[in-house]
Amino acid sequence: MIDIVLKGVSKDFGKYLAVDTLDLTIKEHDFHTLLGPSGCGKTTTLRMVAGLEEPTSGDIFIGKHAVFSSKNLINVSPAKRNIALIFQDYALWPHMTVFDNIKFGLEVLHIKKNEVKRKISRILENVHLEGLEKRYPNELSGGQQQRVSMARMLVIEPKILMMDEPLSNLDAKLRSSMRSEIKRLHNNIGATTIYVTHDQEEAMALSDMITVMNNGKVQQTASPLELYDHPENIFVAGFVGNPPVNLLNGRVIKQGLQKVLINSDFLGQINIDNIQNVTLKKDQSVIIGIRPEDITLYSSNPDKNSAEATIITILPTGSETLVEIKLGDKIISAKVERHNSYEINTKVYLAFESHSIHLFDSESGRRLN
Amino acid sequence: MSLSETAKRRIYLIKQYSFSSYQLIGIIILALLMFLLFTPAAEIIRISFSNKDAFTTHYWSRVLTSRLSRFIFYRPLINTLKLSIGMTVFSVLIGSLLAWLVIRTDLPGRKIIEKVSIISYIIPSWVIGIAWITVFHNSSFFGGFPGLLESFFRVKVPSQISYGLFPIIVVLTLHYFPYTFLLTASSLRSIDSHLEETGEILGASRIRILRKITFPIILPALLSSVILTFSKGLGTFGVPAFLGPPVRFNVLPTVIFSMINTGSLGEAYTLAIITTIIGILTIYMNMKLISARQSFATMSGKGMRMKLFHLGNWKWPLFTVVCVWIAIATLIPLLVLLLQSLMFFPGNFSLSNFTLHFWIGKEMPQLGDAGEPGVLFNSGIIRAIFNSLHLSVLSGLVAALIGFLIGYVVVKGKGTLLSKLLEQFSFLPYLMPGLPFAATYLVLFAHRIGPIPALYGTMTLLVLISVVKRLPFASRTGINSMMQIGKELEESAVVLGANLWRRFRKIVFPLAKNGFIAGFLLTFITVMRELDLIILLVTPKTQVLPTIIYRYAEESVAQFTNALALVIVILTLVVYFIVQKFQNIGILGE
Ligand SMILES: Nc1ncnc2c1ncn2[C@@H]1O[C@H](COP(=O)(O)OP(=O)(O)O)[C@@H](O)[C@H]1O
Ligand SMILES: [Mg+2]
Repeated sequence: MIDIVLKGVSKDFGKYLAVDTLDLTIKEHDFHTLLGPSGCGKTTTLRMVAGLEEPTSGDIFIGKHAVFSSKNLINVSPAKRNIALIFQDYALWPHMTVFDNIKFGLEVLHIKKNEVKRKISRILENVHLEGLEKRYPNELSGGQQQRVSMARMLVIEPKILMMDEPLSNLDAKLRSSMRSEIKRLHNNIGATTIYVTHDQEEAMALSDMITVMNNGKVQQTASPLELYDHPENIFVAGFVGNPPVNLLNGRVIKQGLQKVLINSDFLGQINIDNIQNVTLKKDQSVIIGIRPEDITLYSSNPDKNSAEATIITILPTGSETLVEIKLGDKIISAKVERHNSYEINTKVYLAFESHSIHLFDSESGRRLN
Repeated sequence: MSLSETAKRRIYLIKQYSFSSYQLIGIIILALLMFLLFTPAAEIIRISFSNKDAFTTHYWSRVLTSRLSRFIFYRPLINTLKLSIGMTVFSVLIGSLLAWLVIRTDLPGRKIIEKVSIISYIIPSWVIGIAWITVFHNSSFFGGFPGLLESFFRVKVPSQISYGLFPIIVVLTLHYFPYTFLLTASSLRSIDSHLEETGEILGASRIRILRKITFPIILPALLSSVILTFSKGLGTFGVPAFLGPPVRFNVLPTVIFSMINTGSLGEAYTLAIITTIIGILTIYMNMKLISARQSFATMSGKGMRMKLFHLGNWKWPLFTVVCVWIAIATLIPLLVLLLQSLMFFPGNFSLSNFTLHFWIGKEMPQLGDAGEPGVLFNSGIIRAIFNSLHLSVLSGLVAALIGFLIGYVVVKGKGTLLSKLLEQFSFLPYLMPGLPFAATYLVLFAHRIGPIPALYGTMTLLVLISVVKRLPFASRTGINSMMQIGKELEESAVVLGANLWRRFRKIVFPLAKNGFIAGFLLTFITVMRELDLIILLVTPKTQVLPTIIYRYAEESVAQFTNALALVIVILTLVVYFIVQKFQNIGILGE
C-alpha cells in the first residue's frame, strides 16, 4: 500500500503557526481533499508533502518510507518523492510551447524521442488539447492553460497527484466542466490524489475523503456524506453545506440513557436520541444545528407544539427555493419545493424530525449526538 | 540494523545541501563581496593612522587642523558642497519641470523629447566639459589656442565662465538632469488621474490639487533624486579635473588624486575616508527619508487614464525653450567636438585650416605631442579602444552574471538572513564615491594577498573594480528580473525531478535573459566612459579611452581630445540604441 501518512506535522513561519501538529492518512488511489477557509494551512500542508517546504517538526511517510522526519533527520528531495503538483496559477513556462512544457518532465526521465512524442500526443488527447502543441501559454484560454498544466504533470504517470485549488481561477461554467474532467481523469489514471480547495461543493462533488481544516488544525476527516450527516463539530457543520446549517441555542433539561431532553430557544422542548458517552449537567448550554432541508414549513399549525415564524425573504434558485424566516429574534433558512405559495410577511409553522438535529456542546463545539 | 546518529546526520546534511546548493552560491558571493569591500576599507584606515607601522594621528591632524588644512581640506570641502548643492538644485528643478511638461501637459513632441533628453545622461559628463572648454576657453588668460567664442566672435570670455565652479555646475546639470527627469516622470505617470479628478469634484482649485495631491505623490521620487544627485556630486572627479585646475578650483576627489600622484598617501586616504563617510551619511539619510514614503510609488496600475494639462499660449514658447535646452545638452557639445577635431590650428576658421589629419593623418614629429598619427591609425589609441572594449565587455558579462546569481539567491531565499545580507551588501558599493574607492584598491592589490597575485597594472584589477562598483545596479536588475519569475515556475520543474543545472538552463535563465542582457549592456555603457574609478589604477599598458583622453587634455592636444571624446560617445550611443531594443530597460541604475 502506498498510503501517505502525516504524523504530528507542524510548520512554524516565525510569528505564525501555519500548520499545527497535523495527523493525516491518505489511502492509496483515493481522491482526498483538504478543505478549509483561505489561510488555514492547506497549501502549506501540500507543499510539505511535496518537499517544497520543510516542516518544523513531525514525520511524513509515502508508502513504507519516511520522506521527512524531524527526529531521524530525513528530508528526501522533491524530485525523489515521485509526486506531481499542479499549482493554483498553473505555473506554465511562458517561454515554452505547450509541447515543450509537457516534454520537460519526460526529458528529465531520459525517455526516448519517439516514446516522448507518443506519450505527449496521448496525454493531449486525454485532456482534449489536440492540435495546440505549438501554441505558447499566453495564446491559450484559462481553461486550456489549466489542462496543459494537468497534462504536464500527468504525462510522467505519477503515483501521487496533488492539486492546489486548480479551478479557482476559472469562471463558473468552466469550473463545473473541469470538475467532471478531473473526476474522469482520476478514475482513468488511478493516481492517489490530494486536492486542495476552499469550495465545499467542489470538495463534496469530487472526493472519496475530505479533511476539513481550520487554523492549521484538522477538524474532521470523513467521506463527503459522513461529513455532511455527522459533522464532528460546529465548525465543520457550518463550513460544509450551502446554505449553511441553522444554529440555535438551547439548554439541557435532563439526561436519560443515551438521550437528552433539551429546551431550545423558540423551538420548545426536544428529545434527542443517540447521545454519545458524555455526562451533561442540567442547564448546560448547547447548540442545536438543523440543516435547511430538514425543516418543513406548514401554513397552518400541524400540531399545537410547532414553532411559529414569519417569512422575510423568498429566494428561488430554480431547482428549489430557499425561504428565510424569522423565528423569535433569529433568522433561519429552510429549503422548500420550487413551486410553492409562500408569501413574504405571512406566518408559517416549523416542523422537523428530532433525529435530524445536530447537537453540539456550546463550549468545546464538539458534537454530542 | 540502525545507522549511527552521526551517519544519519551526515546523510541529512548531504541531502540538505543538495537541495539548497543555491545557498552555497549565495554564501560564496557574500564572502567575496565582504572581502572586496571591507579589506580595502580596513587597509586605508590602517594606513591613514600609521607611520612605518607605528600608530600616528599625524595625517589626520595634517588634514584637519594644520596650516595646510585650508587648502587640502576645508576649501575643497566647501567647493565640493557648493558644486553638489548647485548641480542638485538645478538638475532637480529642470528635470522635474521637464518631466511634468512631458508627462502631464500637451507639449508638442513629448514622446521624442523624452527619448532624446536621456541621451545627455549617456554622454559622459566630462565630454561635455571638454566641449565647454573648446567653446569658452580664453587664451589671453590661460594661454594655448583660443576657444571658439574667442576666435569666432572676438569676445573676451570672463575667466569665471571659462573655468571653475560655474561651468562645472552647468556641465554637471546638463549631464544629471535626466536622472531627476526619469525618476519624476515614472512617478508622475503612476498617478491615476482619478486621484486628481476626485479633488476636482470636491471643488479644489488646480493649484491646490497640484500642491495637495500631485506634489505629495511625487515627493518621494523628488527627494530621492535630490539625495542621489547630491551624492553623485560628492564623488565626481572628471568634470572638476578638466574645468578646475586653470583657476585652482579643487574638490575633494581632485585633491585626493593629486595627493596620490605626488605620493602623499596618508593624507590622500584620510581624505578618502572622510569623503566616503559623507557619502554614506547622505545615502543613509535618503533611505531614512524615503522608506516611510516609499509606499506611494508603487500605486501604478495599467491602462490608467491621464488627463493632460493644456498649455495654451505657452505651448510653443515652452517648446522652444525645451528644444534649446536639450540641444545644448546633447547635440551642440557633439558638434563642437566634431568641429574642433577637424581644425588643424584651433581657432582658425579659414577653409584651408579644416583637415581630417587628426582622424586619419600620418605621424608629423615636428608638431610634438600634436603630431601623433590620426585617431584611426594611432597604435596607442587603437590599443586604448581595444582595452576599453575588452574592459567593458568583460565587466558587463561578469557583473550581469553575478547580478543574476544574486537575484536568484535573494529572491529564492526571500526572508532568510542570507537573502537579506546579500541584498544589503550588494548595495554597499553604491555608497563609495568612485575615486576614493579606487584609492582603496590601489593599496589592497599593490602586492600579493594569499593566493591572489599583485593585480596592480593588470586588466583584471580594472575589471574587478568596475564589476564591484556596478554591482548595486547589476544585482538590482537581477533581483527585479527574478522577481518577475514566479517561484512556482521553478518549483514545477523541481517536482518533475529537474536538478539545479537543468532548471537554470531551461527555465530560470531563458526567463531572466532580458534582465541579464540589460545588466550586461548597461554595465558596458557606464564602464566604457568610466574615468573616476579607473584613472588611479591604469598603467601605460592598460590605458583605456577615457584615461587616454585625460592624458591628451593634460597635454593640451585639443583635437585629439575632441576626436576621442567623440569616438567614445559614438561607441556608447551605438550600444545604447541596441539596449533600447530590449523592453523595460531603464538607465537609472547607474
Ligand atoms: N512563506 C511564508 N512565510 C510566512 N507565512 C506564510 C508563508 N506561507 C504561508 N504563510 C502563512 O501561513 C498560513 C497558511 O497559509 P496557506 O497554507 O497558504 O493557506 P491556504 O492555502 O489554506 O490558504 C497563512 O496565514 C499564511 O499567511
Ligand atoms: Mg492556498
